[in-house]
Amino acid sequence: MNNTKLKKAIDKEIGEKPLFTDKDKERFYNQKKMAGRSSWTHYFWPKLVTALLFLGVMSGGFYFVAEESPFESVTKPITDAPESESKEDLGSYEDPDLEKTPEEEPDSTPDTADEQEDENGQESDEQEQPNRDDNQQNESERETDNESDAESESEPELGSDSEQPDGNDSTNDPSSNDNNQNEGTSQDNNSNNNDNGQDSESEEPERVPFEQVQAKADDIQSQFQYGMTISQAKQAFGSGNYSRRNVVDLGERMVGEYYHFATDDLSFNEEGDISLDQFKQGHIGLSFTLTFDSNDRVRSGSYTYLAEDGETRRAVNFKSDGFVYVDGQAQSQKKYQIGFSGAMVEAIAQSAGKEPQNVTRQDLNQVGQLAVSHSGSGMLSVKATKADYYNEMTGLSAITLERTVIPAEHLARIPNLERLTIRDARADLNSFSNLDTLRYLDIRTPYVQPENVSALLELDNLETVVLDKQELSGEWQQLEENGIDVLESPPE
Amino acid sequence: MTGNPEPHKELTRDQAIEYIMNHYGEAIKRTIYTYVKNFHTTDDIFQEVLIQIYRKWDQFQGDSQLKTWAMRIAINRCKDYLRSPLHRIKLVKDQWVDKGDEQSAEKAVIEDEHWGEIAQAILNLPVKYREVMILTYHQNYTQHEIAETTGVPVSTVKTRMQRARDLLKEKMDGREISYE
Repeated sequence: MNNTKLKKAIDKEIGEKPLFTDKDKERFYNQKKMAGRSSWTHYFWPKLVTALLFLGVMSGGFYFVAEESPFESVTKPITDAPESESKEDLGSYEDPDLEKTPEEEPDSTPDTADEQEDENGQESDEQEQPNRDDNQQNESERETDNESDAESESEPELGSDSEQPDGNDSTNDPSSNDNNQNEGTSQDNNSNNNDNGQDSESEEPERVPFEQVQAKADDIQSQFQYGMTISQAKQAFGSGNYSRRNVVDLGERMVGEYYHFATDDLSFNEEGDISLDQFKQGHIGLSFTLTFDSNDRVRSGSYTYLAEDGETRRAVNFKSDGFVYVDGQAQSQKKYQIGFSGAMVEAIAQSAGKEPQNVTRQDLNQVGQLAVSHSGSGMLSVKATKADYYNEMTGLSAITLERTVIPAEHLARIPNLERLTIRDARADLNSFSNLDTLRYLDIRTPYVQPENVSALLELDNLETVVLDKQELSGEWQQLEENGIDVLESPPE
Repeated sequence: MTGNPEPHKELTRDQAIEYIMNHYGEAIKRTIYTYVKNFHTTDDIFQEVLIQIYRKWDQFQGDSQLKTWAMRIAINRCKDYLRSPLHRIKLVKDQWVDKGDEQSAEKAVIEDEHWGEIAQAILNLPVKYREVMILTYHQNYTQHEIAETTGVPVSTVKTRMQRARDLLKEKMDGREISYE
């Protein structure tokens, strides 16, 4: 292209007269002078207004704290769960390595199936209580609890001043997941627990020493292995009751459940449900659940015991994807050599031509393309014990996520990711703004949020977007106006 | 981008702004226009850029060309403006104004219709492609200078340049444009 002619042509388009004149200079110097003169007032008023606003908010807050808030209910519930227990209810956890995703937050409940969400972003597995479901469940349980509390008030001999109301225990009880599948049982359980509390007063059972419980917990943690046979499990954990029962999403499976020891021996808990008080009063030292796969090999497991503080329970989960959670916090990967969720490890294994168990960290930079697929119900949120794993995938240029979500902040760590395809999984476009290297994005998935795709304009290198124009009414034309090809099917 | 060795850090704030206005004022203002395509807005943004340069003079390290540094401030300001909701509101209004301009332009005599068409097509490219074309062919920047000015890697500049050429060809109804 002839630079001189083109430069002239562009100048002609802009205008042949000089754009920069003395007026621009004058205007600048005037502005400068004005700024110099009025600098005091210029900065003073916004600061004053901010200060007044701050004072207003502070005094308003003080008023609400000092006076009785009109929003506070007069008929306040008699019992509130302690803060730590409430947190446990929500299943929230903070992990510096594992960045939290809205899709899934592991809870501290025993697990018998994958961490999954249904298509609406809610976990479909009833055995793993999703947060939102937790909230709903807690509400319903709270109602039941209040009824239970009311009964306690009318029958004071069932409770004692020093005891925590049992109502909240069932909410926090990891084991209640299974039992709460039958709605309306928690009230019965509460009354059972109260009975236990009464017994404990009369019988004064010997409390299991914490050291003994901890030793057993450590023993289990070291002995637990994915793929153990029933006989191996019985040898490691105990030979109690192993029975077949229906497990959500898995059908009928062998389940070894609820072994407790109050003294030195393991025993099966006939009552089924376990409350915090049962741990506190020394009836139970530790309970565990094992779930087996269709070949009767251990698929997942969990155990619960009273923490050293004597007030809360510690829950350790061996999730089916190999992740070990302690109180809902991902700690390590026990099934594979690399700390990724199972589906991710399997995808890397496929790409590297290896068995998943043999995939190591050194394989990460060899991966060129990755197709991560989740075969269970709902969406799988891929976890990683180290976010650095993504940085090490230097050769990865294309990734397909099918019913799988990798948080965008992790995707952004992949140095040369150019193509991203999302199928039947959530695509949070607002979170994609850091995917600078992306050139091709296929978001033909029903779960695109928000519908307005203008957020993608932030991606400097994006050249092609494949989307369903009928589904996304939100201004996809803007992409075309900005030089991005918008297609409804992938190019040949 | 060529020129005599520039006095950089030796200049006082006032000397620097005077120097920039005198030497690069026209180039900066024309570049701003290629982004915002509105004269009033160009005037306003140019003033903001001058003020920013004046305020940030202490931050100028002298490790890049003075023009590149000033241009980078101008381009960033233009992009901020294009991202702002105010721009979108103005765009609707300007579209009406542009129609009038087009009609009057039709009556005007155009000396070189071909180059005019290309220039118009360049000015209608999406910003990220437009800027590499403008900085290359209007400001004679090298790809490294464009990378430094726009804050993207050289490889990205190259990719965008190629893409800009493809888009330009499309806009010219497939007619080949020879590049030197």
